[in-house]
Amino acid sequence: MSSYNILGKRIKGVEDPAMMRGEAEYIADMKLPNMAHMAFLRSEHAHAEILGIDTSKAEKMPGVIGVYTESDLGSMMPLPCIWIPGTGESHFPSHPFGGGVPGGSPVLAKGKVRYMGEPILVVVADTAHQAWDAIKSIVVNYKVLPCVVDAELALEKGAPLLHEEVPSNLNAYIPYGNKEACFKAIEDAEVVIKKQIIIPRTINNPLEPRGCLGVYNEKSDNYTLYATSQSPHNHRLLLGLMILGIPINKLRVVSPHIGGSFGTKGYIYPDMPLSLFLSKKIGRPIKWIDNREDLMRSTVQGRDQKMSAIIAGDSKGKITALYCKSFANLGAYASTIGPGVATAMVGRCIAGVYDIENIFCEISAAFTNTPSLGAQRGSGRTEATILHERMIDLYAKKINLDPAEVRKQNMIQPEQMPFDNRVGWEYDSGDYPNAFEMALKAIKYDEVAARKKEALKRGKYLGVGVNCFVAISGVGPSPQMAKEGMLGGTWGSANVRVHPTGEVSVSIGATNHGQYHETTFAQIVAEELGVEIDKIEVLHSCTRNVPFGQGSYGSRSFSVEGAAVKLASEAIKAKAIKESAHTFKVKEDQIIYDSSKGKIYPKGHPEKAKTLQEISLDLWYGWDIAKVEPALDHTTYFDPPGFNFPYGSVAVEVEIDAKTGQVDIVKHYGVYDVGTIGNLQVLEGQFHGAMAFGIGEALLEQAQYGEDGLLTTPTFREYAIPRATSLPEFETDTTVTPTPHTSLGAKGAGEVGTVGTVSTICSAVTDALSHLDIDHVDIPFTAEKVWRIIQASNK
Amino acid sequence: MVTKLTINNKEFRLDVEPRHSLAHTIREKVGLTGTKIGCDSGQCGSCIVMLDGKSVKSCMVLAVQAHDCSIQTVEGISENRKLNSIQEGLHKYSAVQCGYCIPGVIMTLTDMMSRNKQPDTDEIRDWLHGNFCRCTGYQNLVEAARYAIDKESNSTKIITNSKHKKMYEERVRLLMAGDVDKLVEEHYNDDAIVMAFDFVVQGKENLKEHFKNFVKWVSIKEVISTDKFVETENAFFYEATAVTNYGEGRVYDAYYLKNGKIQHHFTGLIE
Repeated sequence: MSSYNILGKRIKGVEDPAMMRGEAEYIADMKLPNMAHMAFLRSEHAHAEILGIDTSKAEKMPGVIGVYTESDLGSMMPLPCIWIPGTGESHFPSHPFGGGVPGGSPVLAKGKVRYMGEPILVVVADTAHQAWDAIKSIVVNYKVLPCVVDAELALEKGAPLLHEEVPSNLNAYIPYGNKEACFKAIEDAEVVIKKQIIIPRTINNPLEPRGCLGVYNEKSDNYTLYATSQSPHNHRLLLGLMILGIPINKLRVVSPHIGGSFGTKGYIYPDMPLSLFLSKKIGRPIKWIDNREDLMRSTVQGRDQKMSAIIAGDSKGKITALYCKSFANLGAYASTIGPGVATAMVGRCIAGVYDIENIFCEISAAFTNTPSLGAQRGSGRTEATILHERMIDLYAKKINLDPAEVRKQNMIQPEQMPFDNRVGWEYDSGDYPNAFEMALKAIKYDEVAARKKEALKRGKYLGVGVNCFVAISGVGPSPQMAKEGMLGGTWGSANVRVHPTGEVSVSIGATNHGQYHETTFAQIVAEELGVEIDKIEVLHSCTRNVPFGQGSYGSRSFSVEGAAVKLASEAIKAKAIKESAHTFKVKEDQIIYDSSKGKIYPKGHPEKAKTLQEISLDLWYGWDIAKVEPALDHTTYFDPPGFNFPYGSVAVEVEIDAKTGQVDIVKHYGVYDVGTIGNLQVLEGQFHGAMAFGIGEALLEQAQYGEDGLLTTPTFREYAIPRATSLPEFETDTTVTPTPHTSLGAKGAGEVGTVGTVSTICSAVTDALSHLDIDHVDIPFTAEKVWRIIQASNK
Repeated sequence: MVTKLTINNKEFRLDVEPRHSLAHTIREKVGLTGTKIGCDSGQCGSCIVMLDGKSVKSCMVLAVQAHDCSIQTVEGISENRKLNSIQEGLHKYSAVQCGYCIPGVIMTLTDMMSRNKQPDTDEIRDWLHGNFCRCTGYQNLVEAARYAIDKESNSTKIITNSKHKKMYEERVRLLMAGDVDKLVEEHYNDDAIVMAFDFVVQGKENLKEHFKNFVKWVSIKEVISTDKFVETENAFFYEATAVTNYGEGRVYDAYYLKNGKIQHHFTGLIE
């Protein structure tokens, strides 16, 4: 089907050997001469005034260099937030940088703590153990204040107030779609169903905890930050301009190997400015490595929406309206881009793959005494998909139609593309019904009844779900992101440089943290230029290596930064053709560039062929070249004209043990369309990982807070993530509908597996319990929860 | 406290605090940072190493408890940085992704393969129960393990069931014993040719002389690992990592038979 030679092929990852030999350097592996270590003292309470801190004992402990609180930070500014939800009202604490930049969290708490885990002070010592020992000896005197951990309760009158500058704890209220039309359609509808759907807090939990190593070099007056950052360029900008107040040419940010992120490491955290600031103060490099419990308490968390929804339609299966009112829990402070994740990424996505005439979503994001909200793999889109797919199941049940029939009846058809989803997104391309049919076929949908019967004999409740999703990706078109309130551009960039010896260096704006960018981006260049893959090096994750890069988040790397690499490669090819025309003394249109063989020759004369290396060498000498600049080097900045919309369909079969409530996934199929494929082996790995993420969320994961605001799930013992023994063998398929917005045609691929999985498991579990007259259960479907439901219905 | 640890066949005498974990010690004191720390509480498996031949979570072992023990880390599992079969499998299936859990996964699979030559998928997943991976959904880790098992079992299985096995073992035994007369009479044809490294010998009498003088030549007696053992009706062939009189290296050993006896025998170093 594909006419590509290298793109899409299962080429082995060039990144693998170093990691498999234990030679790849992650942040925790870095060591510099004379390096000191930093540790945080974090709040034990969710909401408290700090009355006093006794650090006297710590200061005298062996190896301790200093204990630093907010009063030692000089003119350091708080962390900023750079996503103000754009189309409604919003309220933030102010930020001293001014210019309308919202305030995020303080670097260290000032007089008050607002969530359990908030950093209060740091100790710097010769070794990490010494710093931890000193932390344990410090006594903080708190006055505990009433707290609130639920977004809806936080907005009620009389709720504990978090920020003096934010009335009623309301961070943002944003409406999406047409309220009047939606309410009218609900009023007029034959069938109306209401439901509350709660999507709990989750924690990304990458295997590698966060860390950083800050270095101030007195001789050059330069700073270097090595950090687990998904976005070194943006983090440099925020750190230099809005936190430390230093010129950004004095600051270099480098990400070493990153051990997974899933959204967590795209944010600015207090350790980053602190390690730099204190490195200057003490004249030594300062390293900080997080631990698992602190990670659970202080890195950004995901999801947390309390949705009340209404679906309306006729009795024959035509949906006429969908309404959602949601309370989004933003946490104690606005994280770098948290407010946008909690609002637009949900509100503009609730239409899914359906043509729904009247649609309205209103989201209230509230400050609460919990850690900041951020992105989790599939953020916003997963919540929105749960909403529309659950509501469609309920509607189908009510009108006694097969949910698959209802989905088909309301689905957007390929000829309707591009499609305005009526809540703000314009879908670019896709054949949704085709994906849905593939999933129905894969799960043998017409034989489900017989399988249920058979399973019941074994003491199992069998259930099947087949869901559809579309997941906005490829942040993004900067003007559109500006409308959504993003402070900053979100375009792609790339530099392709052909050396006179024929090797190629490619700088990319993406930041690899497990997605095989060094392999897949090289495949784009190899395909375009006909250069062998092992002659291409991909540079990334360093503000010095890369002219400018927006980093990796929101499934943008391959679809946006990859598109820029394609464009830069096209420009290199065009220049090589121009130079070849000069060399061969023919017109440009007489030059054949055979990318499959890496040969350039005048039409009809393949025997005269030159390689790209030879052309590059000519341009490098510059002695006798076409009317072009010497050297074969091109930099591109590319802003895609629109978002891209990968989509797919997922089918899940579950068996629930009637005695224990244990949910087993016995079949898990996904068909995904992510446009042009970079590397099928890598892509399947992304699908599997994202599907596993979705299973974790659906069956196991929940960050739980007590009424006192304390996290009761701070380790892997309480916060369960999927293990090898609890996951099925995934089956995946792909179809290819390129996005029309880029010449590469790729769509986001890293999150689709999660977006489709969670809602489909909801459908399957509800289906399995349908004989008990259960129509909805909130995730996660832990054995205990399901067992209780079965027990209650037996009575 | 001074603690003696043998890590990847190298002995270290280290001054460690009693509270220091083995993981911390391997990383910070010895500088082998391939072993990762993901939770420091025995849950995630990123820090798994082999301790006296068994996989352990090294964050749950104090360095002093490992006194006098032999430890193998991910840095010590392959010869000359060549990828072993587990690593090849991970590479083939792009199962590494962020790579943080991978050293622990490799050590777990190493332990598994040393104890269970033919684990099925459920057993592989059982073995990986203590290794958290957030990237792969485990599927390609399992595929990689299957690849490694198949590859290893191919070599061992064929050797075990080889119709030429007895002959091969007997040949090696006689050679080691220095009983070259019997070796040559029973195993070589009258006009057999042996080509090895930098010499060629032909005929039984010459061979006897040769084996007497060059007994050391067969220092393939120390086979570190056999990668391939292929046989047909009248030939067998293997590749191995071995110690020879040319030092440690990769060798091949090929036998062509005629009427049940060796007609041609080639041995050489693999580049």
